[in-house]
Amino acid sequence: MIWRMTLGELSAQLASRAVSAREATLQQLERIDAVEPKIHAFLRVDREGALAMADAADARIQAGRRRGPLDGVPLALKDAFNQLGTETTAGSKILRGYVSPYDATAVARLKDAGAVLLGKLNMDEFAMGSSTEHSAFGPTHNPWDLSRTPGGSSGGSSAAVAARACFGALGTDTGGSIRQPASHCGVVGLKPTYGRVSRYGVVAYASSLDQVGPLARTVADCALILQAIAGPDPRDATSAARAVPDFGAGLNQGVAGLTLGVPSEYFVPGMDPEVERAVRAAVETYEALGARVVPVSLPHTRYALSCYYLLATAEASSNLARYDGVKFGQRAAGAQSVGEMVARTRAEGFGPEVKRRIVLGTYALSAGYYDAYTLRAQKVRTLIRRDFDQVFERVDALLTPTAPTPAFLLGERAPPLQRYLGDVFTLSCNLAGIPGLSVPCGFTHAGLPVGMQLLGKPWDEAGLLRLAAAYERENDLSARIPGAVA
Amino acid sequence: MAQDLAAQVRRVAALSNLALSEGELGALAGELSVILAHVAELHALDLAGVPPMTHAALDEAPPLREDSVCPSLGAERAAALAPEREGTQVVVPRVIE
Repeated sequence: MIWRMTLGELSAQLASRAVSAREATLQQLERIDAVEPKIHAFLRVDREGALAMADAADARIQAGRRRGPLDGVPLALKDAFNQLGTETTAGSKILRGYVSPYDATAVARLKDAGAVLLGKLNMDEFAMGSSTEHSAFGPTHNPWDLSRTPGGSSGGSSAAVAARACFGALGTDTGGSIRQPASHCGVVGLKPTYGRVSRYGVVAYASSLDQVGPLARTVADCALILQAIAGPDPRDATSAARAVPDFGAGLNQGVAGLTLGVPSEYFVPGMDPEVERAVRAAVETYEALGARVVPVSLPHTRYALSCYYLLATAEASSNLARYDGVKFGQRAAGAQSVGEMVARTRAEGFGPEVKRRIVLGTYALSAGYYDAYTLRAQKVRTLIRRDFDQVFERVDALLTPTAPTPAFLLGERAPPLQRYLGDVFTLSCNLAGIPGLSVPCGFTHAGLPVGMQLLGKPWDEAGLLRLAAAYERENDLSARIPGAVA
Repeated sequence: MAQDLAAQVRRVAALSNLALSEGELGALAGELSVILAHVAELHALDLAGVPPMTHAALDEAPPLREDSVCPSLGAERAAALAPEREGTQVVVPRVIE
């Protein structure tokens, strides 16, 4: 079964011509047909497009012109990415029918690398949410327990990877939207340093926080995808003019001599005891592997939630002003004036969570409240960043839980603030702009995956991947197939 | 205060170009008051002399590309995306009464 392989294994088989990209893609499409009725990870599957890309890859490989490790490998995209000629909705009704007239830079780079793009994956509307339940097109189900969410907002990406419906996927992460779903679905997810990957062509949520990254089954697979998409882009002024290192080079170096910090603020009352136990056990594994582990403090962590929800919503309220029914997307019918058309288009097109965040963000930006909320939150953001700068003088990386609980039940009704608290361990990373990675570190008694989070110094994705790979060699959970889709 | 907030939500909804129902406005006012009560914790911090961080870009100056003409989408492809159009023009309801 080709779909049981990791990305790296498939890549080697493609290189040796033991399997063709067409065979791999056909099997992957069959696999999608088999699991989709249970998990609903995909919003659209592009069979013809994928097979055409596979045939082109096979032709290159036959001719001895293989482009690299992703050539012929089936991957999938969160629906936040523009891919030329495909519908891109970002999980929102307001973008239904919008067909991308261009490729996002990350997508263009995957195409250049020869990847086969299978289709678009479900997400919370405009990436606002942590469960995919805010998708306008119905929720995704967690392959480990179909009654639970896969996390979010990149929940289609994490569920598809966990269910072996693709060999890897792209997600976006504004406050944890790659790492938290990776944790809940038992896969590896990496949010790179802000500026490492171009945001050009990605549907924006909060531009100072959004970052593109990979989800895959293994650490090495994540490194391969990141390698293909990273690097400066003249179309994104916030992409950094920095050389891209070889992310796979250090994966086997081990952790002897490295210092890991464990921040006390990330072990909070009320967190799930099984999550805490799994992460504490991972700390011991690192010690056994020769890393030094020290307790550290990030004292402003407790303010990250307030800071994040003020800044992310303020940026969202500006970014989402473009959805007005004029130039693209859906338009409300029968309006008598432009003002009525815009207001009704937005009221009909946006879901409740998006409206909530636009209203909060507009409030925080409005005259009389800007200084009290937005400006104050921006200053607190500085303090959060300084916390990290200070601990990174003493440690190489930080180890924390990715989320305080395992995946929660679909349909669990909680007030917005209580739901936002589930993001408490992942938000600071985006506020500070540093890289973060979630890697599986265990299962609960009920069989739900638990992830741990590694946070690194700016631009040190390679260090995080090295740390995660060392752990994965000791406790490799990547071969387990979720029972519901076995 | 509750009534103040309801009025403010109405004003903010108008600023955001959102035609919300009375039910939606009421629910949002309630949720907003809980969220604002939580974020009020930021007011306890002494922020004197702390500069605001407006962006996460970690390198000093963003690179600027050369100021030269590049290919763009073009009117034909851009207008093709519009919900209503005439040729390469986007059609909207009458703006001037």
